[in-house]
Amino acid sequence: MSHDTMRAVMFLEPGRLELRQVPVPQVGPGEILVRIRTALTCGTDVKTYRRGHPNVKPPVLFGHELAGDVEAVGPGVERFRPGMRVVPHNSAPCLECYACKHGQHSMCENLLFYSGAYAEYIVVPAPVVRLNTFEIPDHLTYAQAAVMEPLACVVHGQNAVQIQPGEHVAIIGAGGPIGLMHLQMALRRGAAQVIAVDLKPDRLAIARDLGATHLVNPKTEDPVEAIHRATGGRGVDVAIESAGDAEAWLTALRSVRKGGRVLWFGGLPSGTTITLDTIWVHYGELTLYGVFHATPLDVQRAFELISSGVINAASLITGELPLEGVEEALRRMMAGTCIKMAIVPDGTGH
Amino acid sequence: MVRAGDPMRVAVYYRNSDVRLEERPVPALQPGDLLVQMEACGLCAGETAEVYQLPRAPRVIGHEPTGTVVAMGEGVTRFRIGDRVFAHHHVPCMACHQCLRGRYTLCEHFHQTHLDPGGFAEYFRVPAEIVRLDTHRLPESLSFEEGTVIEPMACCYKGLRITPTNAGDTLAVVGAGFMGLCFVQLACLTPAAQIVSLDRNEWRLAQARALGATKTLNPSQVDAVAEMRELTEGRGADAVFLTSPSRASLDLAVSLVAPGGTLHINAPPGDPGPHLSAYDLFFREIYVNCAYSASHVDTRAVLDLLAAGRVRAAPLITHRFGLDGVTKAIELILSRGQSLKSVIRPSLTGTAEPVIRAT
Repeated sequence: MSHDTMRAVMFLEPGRLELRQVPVPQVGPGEILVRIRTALTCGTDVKTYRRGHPNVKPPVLFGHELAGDVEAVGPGVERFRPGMRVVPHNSAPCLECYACKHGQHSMCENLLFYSGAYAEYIVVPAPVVRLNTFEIPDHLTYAQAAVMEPLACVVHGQNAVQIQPGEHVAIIGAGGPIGLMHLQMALRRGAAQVIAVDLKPDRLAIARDLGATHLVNPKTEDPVEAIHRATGGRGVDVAIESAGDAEAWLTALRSVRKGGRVLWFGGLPSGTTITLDTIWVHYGELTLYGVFHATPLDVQRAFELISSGVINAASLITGELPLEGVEEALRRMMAGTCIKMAIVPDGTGH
Repeated sequence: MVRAGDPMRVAVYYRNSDVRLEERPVPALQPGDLLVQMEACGLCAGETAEVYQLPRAPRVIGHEPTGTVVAMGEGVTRFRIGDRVFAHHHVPCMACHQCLRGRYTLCEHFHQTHLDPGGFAEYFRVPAEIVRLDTHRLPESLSFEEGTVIEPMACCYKGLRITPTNAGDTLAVVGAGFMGLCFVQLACLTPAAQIVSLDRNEWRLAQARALGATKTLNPSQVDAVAEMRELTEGRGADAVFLTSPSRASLDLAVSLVAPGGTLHINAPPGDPGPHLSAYDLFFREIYVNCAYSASHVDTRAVLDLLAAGRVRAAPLITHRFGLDGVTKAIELILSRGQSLKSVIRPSLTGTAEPVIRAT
């Protein structure tokens, strides 16, 4: 190994990150050490930076979407060797608990997470190496490959709502990275109409470029009314909330037709409540989906969707910044002046 | 206290007419393994199919065992010495293409996992991966013999699980042997309106009626297809579960399915075919599905159903033999007469006579 220490971004407390010199982690049995070539900013990082996160106990290495080169492999690793370009997912289920045995791997009682993507090196835990790590095909950049993690979560949500050919779909918060992936997936599943709702005109423009059929800005018109207007007064078959906002949860609920499906995708701070009139759900026969994270099958499918080009991963990457720029990147995410930023520890993500 | 390497008695299969009592060493444990003293192990009809068994002979057969934990490898925390357990004989890797899609019995690793040396042994080793994924304590309410029914009934449970059934359906079960009677009982857990059991043996049909069949038909005495139409306003059965390997049973099963219905094949065909006429299936839009073996999902469900009393194992067990009685048990299963499941019990020594359950 070339270095004993490396640069890594630590999350110290809400609003405080620090670039530190820390030891390069040692690789153990079944693990791989990855030299990180690109890490991507994520809305969850923004939430954590802003208000903390129930599953993140600072001080902790930060960032969870990454791609890079295998630097070293631990004993027993056969599928990877040094020099391979790889993309690891950020978690792995235990495969043995009650939820895993029922195929509900995202509800695993022992779901293993790790973080530290905003760094020069990272050790990928053995279960992740075994289940959720892929060799990057030559035609993909590191940044494109690193979209696998959030796309897997989107695939997980899409798998719940099962959009059918010819259906009408609304996406609340369509202009963020998650919304833009839901948009692409909805179109690929044959949605007849995809209504993009977002507060930012430039993000709506990106949604339009990716195929959104209607654009709605809640700053200028009531989104529920606009969505009903666009569907002959009926409402959409499927509404997807990807804004991470309680108001957006209600907007999604009020936008579906009778018998429609609602996907509440964006996680909200613990203790958040919404109030709904039960007659909407009962007499409207609504189906409401809560989803969290992704299963290994979703991860595999996400990898296939990116590799095959079905999902345009490059459209989600606005630009590159070095490790020193993580806070700036998160502030740009907050301000909505980027979709995702690529953090490139060594100055090039290609 | 038994030790690894001590001699133990096992039943070694050479051919249907030749299963020998031999001595083998008690297996040594690896971390995570269990050593189980076998109490009861069912004989499966599949183990009497020489077409599969002869190429693998000689070997210790038996894959439906229950018993008592007598030793544990390092690191086992979920079990204790003295626990009464059921252990499945195969587990999937949980990580391959098929496993991630829930098709556990198609996992390549599934077939590579085994109880060591097999179920017809005084002691068997449960490898760590099976301990983790598909070994269960038997509830107090289930005897060792009843526990042997978990694995084979799980194969039927899987068949029912993958076959669409709806309120008011007519379900037909071809064959009223052990597997057929499992299907009859499981069919009672669906909102089906009619459960029709078919067999050429009147004694078996009587068992089917006792276990919940709403109608039984003997194809050697009546025109079963005409009778089925009579029962269903001319349509046929919404789903037909085939549990017999014979060509005649398959032909009958196809003729019984209603247009748009499902033919579920749960028994390996006794000869290589060809079997099904695509012409027959096409115009009636028949779905065909198959279930080979069962996974941890199915064994767990069946264990829960047995524990809750929603299905019954005792009426399915008709004979008991010692480890030296396997050849006789095979004769009995091949006679397809007044018998259902035979269990092998090491505690029965000498040439124990079969115990026929009064019915």
